Amino acid sequence: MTSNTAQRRRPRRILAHGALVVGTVVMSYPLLWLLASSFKEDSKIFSSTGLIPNPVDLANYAEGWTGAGKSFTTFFTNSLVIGIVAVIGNVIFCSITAYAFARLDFRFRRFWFAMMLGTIMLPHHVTLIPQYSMFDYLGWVNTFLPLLVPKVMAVDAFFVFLLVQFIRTIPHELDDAARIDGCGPVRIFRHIIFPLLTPALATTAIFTFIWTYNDFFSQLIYLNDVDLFTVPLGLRMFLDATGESAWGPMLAMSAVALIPLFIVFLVFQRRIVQGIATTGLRG
Amino acid sequence: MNTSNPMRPAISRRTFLGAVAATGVGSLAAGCGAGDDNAGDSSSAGGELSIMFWGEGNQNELQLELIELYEQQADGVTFSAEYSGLEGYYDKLATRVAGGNPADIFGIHDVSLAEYAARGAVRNIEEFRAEPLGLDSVANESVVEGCLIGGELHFVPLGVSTEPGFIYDKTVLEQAGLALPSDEWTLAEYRELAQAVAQSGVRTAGTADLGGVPPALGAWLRTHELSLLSSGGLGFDVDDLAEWFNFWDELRREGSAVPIEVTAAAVGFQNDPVVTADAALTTTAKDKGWLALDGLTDDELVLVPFPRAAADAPAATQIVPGAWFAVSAESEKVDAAIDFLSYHISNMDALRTIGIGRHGVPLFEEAREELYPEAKPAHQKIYDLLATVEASQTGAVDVVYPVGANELFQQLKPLNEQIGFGQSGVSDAAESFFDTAERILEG
Repeated sequence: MTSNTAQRRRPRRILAHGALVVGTVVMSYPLLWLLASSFKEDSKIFSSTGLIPNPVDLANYAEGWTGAGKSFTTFFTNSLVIGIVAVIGNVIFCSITAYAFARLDFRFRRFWFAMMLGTIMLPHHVTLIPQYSMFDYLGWVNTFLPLLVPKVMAVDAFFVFLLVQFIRTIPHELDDAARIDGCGPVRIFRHIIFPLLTPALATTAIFTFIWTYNDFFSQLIYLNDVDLFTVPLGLRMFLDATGESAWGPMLAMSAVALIPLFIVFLVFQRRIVQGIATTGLRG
Repeated sequence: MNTSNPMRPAISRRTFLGAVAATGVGSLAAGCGAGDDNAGDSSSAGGELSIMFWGEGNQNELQLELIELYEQQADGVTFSAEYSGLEGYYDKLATRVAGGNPADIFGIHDVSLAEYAARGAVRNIEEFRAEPLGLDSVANESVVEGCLIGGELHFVPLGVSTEPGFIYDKTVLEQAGLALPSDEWTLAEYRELAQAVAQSGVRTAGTADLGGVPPALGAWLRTHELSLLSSGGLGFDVDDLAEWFNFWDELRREGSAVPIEVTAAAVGFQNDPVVTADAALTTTAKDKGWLALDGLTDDELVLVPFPRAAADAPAATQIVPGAWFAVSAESEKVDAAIDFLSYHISNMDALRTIGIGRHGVPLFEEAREELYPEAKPAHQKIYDLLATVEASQTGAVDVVYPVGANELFQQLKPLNEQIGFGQSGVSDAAESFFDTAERILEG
């Protein structure tokens, strides 16, 4: 009976797998095109449709690494520094803020929580110029400070909200037990809440890194000196929509730029799923 | 377990809306005040000038070399150069201008000239026109005309270009055994050639569809003794536009122009129908676009003037500035900025360094004569085309778009596509364009 059912299901399963394989190929085609084109000369990238480069030309990688006026070593170092500091800042300060909103009782708490959620809904463009003026007034334009200081002030309301949701699922009895043992709010956070937050913190860390690494706009606005440029800014320097562009080197460096994200995703993919499944963000 | 938590920050709708409103109003208030507080703070110490421009890697390096050359011969003047690709350049420029912290000198191009001048972001530099810039001795008046706002100089032209660039694929035409276009060719000959390419089967169609390309419409109007713009308004009427749309509709129907699906997807040089091997004839906004296309295909591409309405009709291609720099209205180092710009456009070492791929052919005759023999063969072709066009230019010049005109001309592409996809008739599309024009240009 059971084996009959399994046999009956087999064709359906094969079909489902076939569809999934086709879907995977379709979804990964742009990535494959990027990789294949990074080995082609500029004159072959858009005029030939084949995926297999012939001849295989590695010159784009050599040219691209230094071709944007500055070495990509600088851009990668800057991107990684910004990414790592942002991760540390968000993990520590968003969790402290979330703890305060979820567990502590203070005046105007609901008001501040609503304010914080309001910032998620404000379009970026509304705050852009006031923010720019403020950072310019402080003399921070053309430094990493406008990109990093907000991260140690828990301005990523999305992550605060995510962590608040997670803390709400942690039983209050744990806090009460710690309080009976003589813990104050700081020690409850340090010894009880923070260790239990790990899955949500992993999500915070991973997404902070990916979003910071991919961020183009704020880095474009606040960084002027090419020595401070990051990978997304470096990649845009190959292209000029009004004249000649260096497509091959741009595609080669785009392929290289994917490597850190690919590694982060491969190493942490299980935690990404776990984090989302346990933070109350599931649908 | 008791899930209801007395300490949970439940939010009432009223609290929430109040908070959102307070955040929004607070940011706006901050925005209004901050720019003013900071307006006088734009100068940096010593003799440092800030300059901002866009370009592709190699071109940026040439620009930096030119700046370095200037620094070596200028006493104590240094530059802080900011550069990027074009993507995001205007977002950053707009933010810096609005934030009261623009660079002393910044790059800008035709579609944004009037808008930035109207915002008060650009310094009027009329007093420097004759001396030291020497723009009174530029051979072609239209180049300086393309830098004027209200009759006064607001921008410095960095070189000379022709607009639009018209390009044919010589390899394809020779393969099909067809005669190559001459410098004096006409629209009728163009149409015949496009038909012949399509019939030869070497390419699926003869020409790219230019119905939605503003500089191509400008060229068509000039050779019909009309113009894109005329004293702040449009220099043509609804019937002229309908005729233009109809021309392209017919070319599509007879298979001479690429199908509308190809046109709708063709954004940027990389998707141009000549690069993707769909057609053999196309256009670019300026002649330097030819250099961009040429790098993307192995075929030999040749630059010719845009076809005329008839052999004795005015020339369709016009002469325009190749690129522009503006001096910021906030700059406190205007004299130093002008000195640099004057060096940029007239010093032989500077011109030799920058070449013509970025800003166009040098403004002054003496420089052209000296640099032509040294130029790469591809660049010599751009000099040659300029000489041909200069000898024949009679039509009106449309360079400085009034505020809003860029937004208006962006409508040509979707309207042409609507006709191509059968969603709109030719005359309906033309009327819709004029309705928009009335709203944008006079509103």
